[in-house]
Amino acid sequence: MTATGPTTPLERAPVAEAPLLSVNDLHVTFRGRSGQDSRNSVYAVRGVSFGLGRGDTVGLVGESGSGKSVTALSLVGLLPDTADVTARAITLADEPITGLSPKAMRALRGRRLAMVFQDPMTSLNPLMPIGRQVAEMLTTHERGLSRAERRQRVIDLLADVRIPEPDKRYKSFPHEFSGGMRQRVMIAMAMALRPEVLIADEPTTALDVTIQDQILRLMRRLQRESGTSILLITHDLGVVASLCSRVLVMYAGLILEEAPVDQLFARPLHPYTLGLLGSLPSARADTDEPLQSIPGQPPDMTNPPPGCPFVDRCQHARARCQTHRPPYYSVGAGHRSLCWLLDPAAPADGNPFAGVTATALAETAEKVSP
Amino acid sequence: MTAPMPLLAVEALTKHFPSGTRDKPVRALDGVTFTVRRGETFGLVGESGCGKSTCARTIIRLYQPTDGRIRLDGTDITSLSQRQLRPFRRRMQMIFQDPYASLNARMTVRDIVAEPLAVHESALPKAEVTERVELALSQVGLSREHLLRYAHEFSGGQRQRIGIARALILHPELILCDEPISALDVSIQAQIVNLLRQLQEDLDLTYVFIAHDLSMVRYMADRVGVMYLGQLVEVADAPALYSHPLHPYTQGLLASVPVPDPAADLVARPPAIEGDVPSPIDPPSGCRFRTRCPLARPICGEASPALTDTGDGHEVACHLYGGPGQSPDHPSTTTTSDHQNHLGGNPT
Repeated sequence: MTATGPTTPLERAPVAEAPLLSVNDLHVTFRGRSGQDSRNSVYAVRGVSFGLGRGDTVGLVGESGSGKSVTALSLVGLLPDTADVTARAITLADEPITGLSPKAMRALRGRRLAMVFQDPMTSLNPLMPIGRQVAEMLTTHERGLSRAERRQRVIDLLADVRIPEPDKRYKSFPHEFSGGMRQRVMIAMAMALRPEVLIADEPTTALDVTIQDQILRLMRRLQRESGTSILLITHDLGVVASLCSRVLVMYAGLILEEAPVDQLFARPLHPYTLGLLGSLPSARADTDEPLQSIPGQPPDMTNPPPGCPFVDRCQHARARCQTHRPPYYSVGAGHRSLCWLLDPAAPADGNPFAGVTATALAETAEKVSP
Repeated sequence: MTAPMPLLAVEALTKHFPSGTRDKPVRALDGVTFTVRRGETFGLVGESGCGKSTCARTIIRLYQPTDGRIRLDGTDITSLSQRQLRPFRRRMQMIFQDPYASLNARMTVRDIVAEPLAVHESALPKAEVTERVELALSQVGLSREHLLRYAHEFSGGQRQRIGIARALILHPELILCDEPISALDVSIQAQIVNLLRQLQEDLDLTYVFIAHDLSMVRYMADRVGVMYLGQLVEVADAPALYSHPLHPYTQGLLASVPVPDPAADLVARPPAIEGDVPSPIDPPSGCRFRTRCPLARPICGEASPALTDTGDGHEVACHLYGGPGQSPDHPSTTTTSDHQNHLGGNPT
């Protein structure tokens, strides 16, 4: 691909203004055991770019090992030392947040960028009462509150996430709470300082459906009240449809498709997205037909394929897909897909996307990544 | 009219575990009754802690039942000794949820899959064992080249295939699948579900399929039982259960499933079910769901509703369907339409 001019992902975002959080060409590599030996390295994230608008909820969807959690952890600076994180730019409200000192990063976390994790049991200290754990957030970031003020703030926060009898529950320990209540506490802690961005990594995966329903509603309500932008990491397309306005589909360290949520479900334009939607049983009314499973399994990320990472599982793959990574093709406002089938020169025969008008986004083409 | 004998009949099955609190056991399973016909898939759904896994483990006698009866093909196996149980054990096998924990890391695939033979057909010559293992592996889409590998060399989906091969090697009639796909990614789930359906057709298997993914159960099961706090609250043919759920809990459960359709606005529908599941150590009196039930009435706290056939084999345990004269309260006309559960509707 020859570059015809820079097109940053930011210009393609549906929001007119610059996004609140912008990630440009993020790479994360976990160094192998043998130090310099690159053969043991895991190339977890291999050039991810996206923007998160103010008040927006963006879903980051992918299977285990796709790099979605690594992407999130790199944003909040919580990856272990074995991870090499590079990016052209990561900005929050136009200020770069890469290369910050640990102290500056700590100030950012909680106050401006907060995170909710999947497992609320392991994220809470089992030996400390719930109230004190939430209060810790305030002692760290909001000095100058009196003890009584702080206690009242915590009780208000617990009430806000609908913990019943918050003044009595202040002294309870995590084991006395159900999974759903613990996740409410985690959300209360994350939202305590009204952060600009909330990163929620599979926040409802460990919960039952009726509790998941409650938590999704809670997140939606808090977002409406506070205007916080949410990056929601999940593998559940139902959760995405319930909460998100835009979706990023991630696979083998790359975003394969980005689309407004209604577009993604109505008109998916990547074979992987098609496969994901096809493997959902609820999408198939005729129960005698087998589910459209995706054959095979994701590639080994110590040695990711040079071309399209989905090539070995794609029924439309051609020789070019093996050797050359496709560029992003823009297929409408805020909708892009990393697939050769969208190339105007791609054969129409057997092409599920034949007739779709797409333009290659030059900047992303042929990015050399191991 | 004599119905054919069910392959599995569970009668008032009860399993209590000591809770550490004196005199107060954990009532994990409390009087569960259902039958599974030969060749069908019976789905068992419910939230964590509702007793669905305990139910499977008690049926296969990994747990000794506290009370009740288990009949396999007409024979009462509830109190058989381990030795007496052996011929029945080989007729029912189990597939577990966690393909990482349920395979021995120090054994080769061959030894893992062959292990049931060592117990049940110990006289089998080695060559025949290998032959049987290879057959079982080929049935689940693995091959001879995998024989000498170890479990850690396989992905989650492949490990689950190994677990299925181990369950198949004794040619069982009944397989209890305890959340066989919950630990797997979506695209791999579909592979395993398709495999289980194919095996059922090829080998005339009967399944008890336990899952919390309601849409997957709808896809897999012929009949479905819904459990709540150790009890069955509703049993029906899958299409009927999903299109006309009768129990308020089933209705709420179905309504909580997030719809993979952005047009279905989360806020537009009422919250499905409020609150948390009460403790099985001290379950509510009467109907156990009453503390979260939007339609609870005084009688619900006084008497425990029995599982009653409302017609066409659709059974429900709810006072709203208690008897004549109570039809005005029949919630299927009101609540269901409010919730608009997306899993319902007639398959066309």
